[in-house]
Amino acid sequence: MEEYLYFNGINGASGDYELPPMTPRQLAAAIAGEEVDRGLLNELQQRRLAHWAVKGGVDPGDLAQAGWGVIFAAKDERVQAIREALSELLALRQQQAGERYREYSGADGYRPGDSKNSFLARHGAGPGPVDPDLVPYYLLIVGDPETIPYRFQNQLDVQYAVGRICFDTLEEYACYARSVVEAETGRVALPRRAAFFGVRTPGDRATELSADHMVKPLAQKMSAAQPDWQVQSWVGESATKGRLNSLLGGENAPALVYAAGHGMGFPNGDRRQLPHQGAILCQDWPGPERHRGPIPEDFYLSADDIAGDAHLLGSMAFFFACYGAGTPRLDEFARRIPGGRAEIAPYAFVSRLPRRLLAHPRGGMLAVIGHVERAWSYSFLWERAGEQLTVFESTLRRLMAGATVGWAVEYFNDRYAEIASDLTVLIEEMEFGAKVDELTLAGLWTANNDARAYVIIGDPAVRLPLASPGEEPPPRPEIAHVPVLSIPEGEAQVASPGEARVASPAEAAEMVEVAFGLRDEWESLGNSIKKFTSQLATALGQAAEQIATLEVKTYSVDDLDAMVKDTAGQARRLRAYTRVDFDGDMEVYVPERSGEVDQVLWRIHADMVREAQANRAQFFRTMAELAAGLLKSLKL
Amino acid sequence: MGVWQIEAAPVASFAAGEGGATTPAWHVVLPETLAEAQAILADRASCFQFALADLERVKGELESLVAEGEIAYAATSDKLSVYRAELLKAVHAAQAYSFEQRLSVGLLEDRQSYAQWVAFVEQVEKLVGSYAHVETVRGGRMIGRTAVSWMGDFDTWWRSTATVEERDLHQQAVHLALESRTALVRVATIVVAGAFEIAAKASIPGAQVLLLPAVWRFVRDVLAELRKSWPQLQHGLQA
Repeated sequence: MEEYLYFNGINGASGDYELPPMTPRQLAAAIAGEEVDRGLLNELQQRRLAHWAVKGGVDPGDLAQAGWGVIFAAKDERVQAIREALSELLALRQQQAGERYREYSGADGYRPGDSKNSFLARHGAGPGPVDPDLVPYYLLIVGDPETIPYRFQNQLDVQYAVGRICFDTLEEYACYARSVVEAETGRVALPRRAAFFGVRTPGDRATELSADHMVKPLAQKMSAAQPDWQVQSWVGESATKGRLNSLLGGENAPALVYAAGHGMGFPNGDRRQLPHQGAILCQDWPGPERHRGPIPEDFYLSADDIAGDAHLLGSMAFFFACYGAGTPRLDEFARRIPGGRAEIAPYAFVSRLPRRLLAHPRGGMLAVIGHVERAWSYSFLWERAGEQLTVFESTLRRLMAGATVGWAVEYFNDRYAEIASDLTVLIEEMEFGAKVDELTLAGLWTANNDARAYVIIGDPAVRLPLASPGEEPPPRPEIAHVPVLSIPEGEAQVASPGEARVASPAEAAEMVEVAFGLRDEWESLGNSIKKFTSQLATALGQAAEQIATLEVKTYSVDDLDAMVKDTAGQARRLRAYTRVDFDGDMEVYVPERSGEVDQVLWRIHADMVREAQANRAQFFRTMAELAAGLLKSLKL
Repeated sequence: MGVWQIEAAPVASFAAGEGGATTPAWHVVLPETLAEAQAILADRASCFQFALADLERVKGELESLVAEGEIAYAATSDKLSVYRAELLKAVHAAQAYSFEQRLSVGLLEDRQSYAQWVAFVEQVEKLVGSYAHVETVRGGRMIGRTAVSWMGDFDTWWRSTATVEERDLHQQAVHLALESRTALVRVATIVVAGAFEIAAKASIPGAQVLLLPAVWRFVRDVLAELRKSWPQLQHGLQA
């Protein structure tokens, strides 16, 4: 009887497995068409032989030695605003890394189509051990994976310690930055508590394996190896959504959460895909035999379940689950499987759950380690060797000892380098006609994909802010509200007048280098101005059609704060109403009190009507001036 | 204009009949003490008047620059002259680029301004593209909230127990917020018009787009310089 391979991941729309269990023979047939990246192969083999990360003599835990850098996309128009929102974090890292601090943006940033090698070469670094004098060891990618692809992140991560943040709003960037700064400047000291959470659903082989061969033994090993830590585990029946919710933000939320289970997957375009893909399916799911059809939200924990008053500041999480960290747009694996989809999402994205955990407005987690794409049981079980937890165990040990998360996950990078080089050699041999054992090939391939796809969501240089052993730490603080000023206030760059400078050789080289970038930027600027002008002209045209009336309404509410928060039960009483027509007609409803006109409210309402009339006239006059200026400008 | 703490605005839509987003754009937090609250608003109104005067001044600076044309790179300690020289350097760089396809140091230096200008335009788009929400909070309780649609319709919600004085406070807040919004558009208008006039004067085809970041930088720097001369008010502002 053939052995089956099991994949994590449940399709939330159908209730079926994301990928059905399959035999090694079936998987090997699907893999046979894989292309070999020989450049990457050579590099991975070198890494395997030398165990590179930073060059000799550099302490990876010291940012002054290892360096720290941030990578933006060259063409991301929001960079300046995001940089502003991250300013607290950037200032801290600049202070810590000193002369080994770098910002890669504009022409220095990630350019479309960049590979790891092309990016590094532009900055004077080639393959091999990291030389922080050239490019820092710690690199934070800022941007979505459609603009800066996961593939670039994965390649760079082989040698460097790489993390990524990608949020929807500037406030989220600012909250994350402040959370890291608070944690690293001594305000946060967390009790040494770790939680291991493992779903184990009867009849579901994938979670039976992950619970029995990963979560339980890992919890035992960590408990034995870390006497200063309180290690608790919730496996099987106790691994409910409610429990996970309390671990991720409850009053006594632990410093470190390790959670394993199915990650939710949804078909491309499903309304739940973007908000819920990668959410953790909990023990509430009765299993594939007892539940048919779409998976209700009650069964899984998503970003929507993280409360507004969650206690997360300073913590970290490790999610072993499909899509726990993110989803690529293209599914190269399924492409090779009959009936598989070529595109699994409208665009690559970072999962909502880690984003919510990191950017929480009361203070967020510092990092989440998770999986892009599907997670595999081969990650912890190896052909004929059985349970393999050394990589997980080593990573967790480093995290619990207070190492940086980027340094801690180097074990996964080593494993990826080792497996990938073995795998690509095997595929090369197949190309030359060698007969390869299917189980070996399938195992190597799944393990390779699995190891490659672990990523850090967050700054790779963060570390758990732990209280000293035996110390009773103060309650976990919250971060103060982070105001985001929308107008960037860049430093004025003032040169001495009359200074007709000649470009230095370095500047001249830079000019050639950025020439294409400048042209693109100006073209983009011109297009954005055109777009804005077009929108404005259209809107003004519509306004001209609809400007015939002006309405002013005045309400009174018992509790305005509650109304704004949209809590139920707030009666809104319309007290006064005025509609002014352009032909001079006016419709007025006056407020009454005890059968008479409420003079106070009426006076205020009348003032508001005058304000509205004046505002409309002035606002449209100014907008029209702007539109005229833009139109004139575009015609020149 | 820096007069208010501006919270996140919804994505720009320019939709006249669109329902209001719940996120406030202008949030005015005042202390419990009435006299102090009134004084803060009065200070802010004064600052806004200074800002408006500065806007006219910077517009005049641009107009005189266009009228005078070339100015000498004479050494001077006058900060405004430095900013004018910087702008003219950008004009020269744009000329070199437009006529000779030659890149120069000046254009390289404008790359940061480019990103800042784009961010500013986005901010203007967001602030004027949908509802303007003004919320006034006194002593931790919201006393009034006004939503102004793109078409200028007003919906105002009052706390039913709000006093006459509190209602006055909110009315002043609404007035200042809307004036600030209009002033922000005015900044954009001055930048666009300035870039157009300078490009026309310098006879550089298509350079108005190249010059937008440089003119934006000039306007921003001059406004910041002028702000330094504002009198010190009792209730300092976030500039």
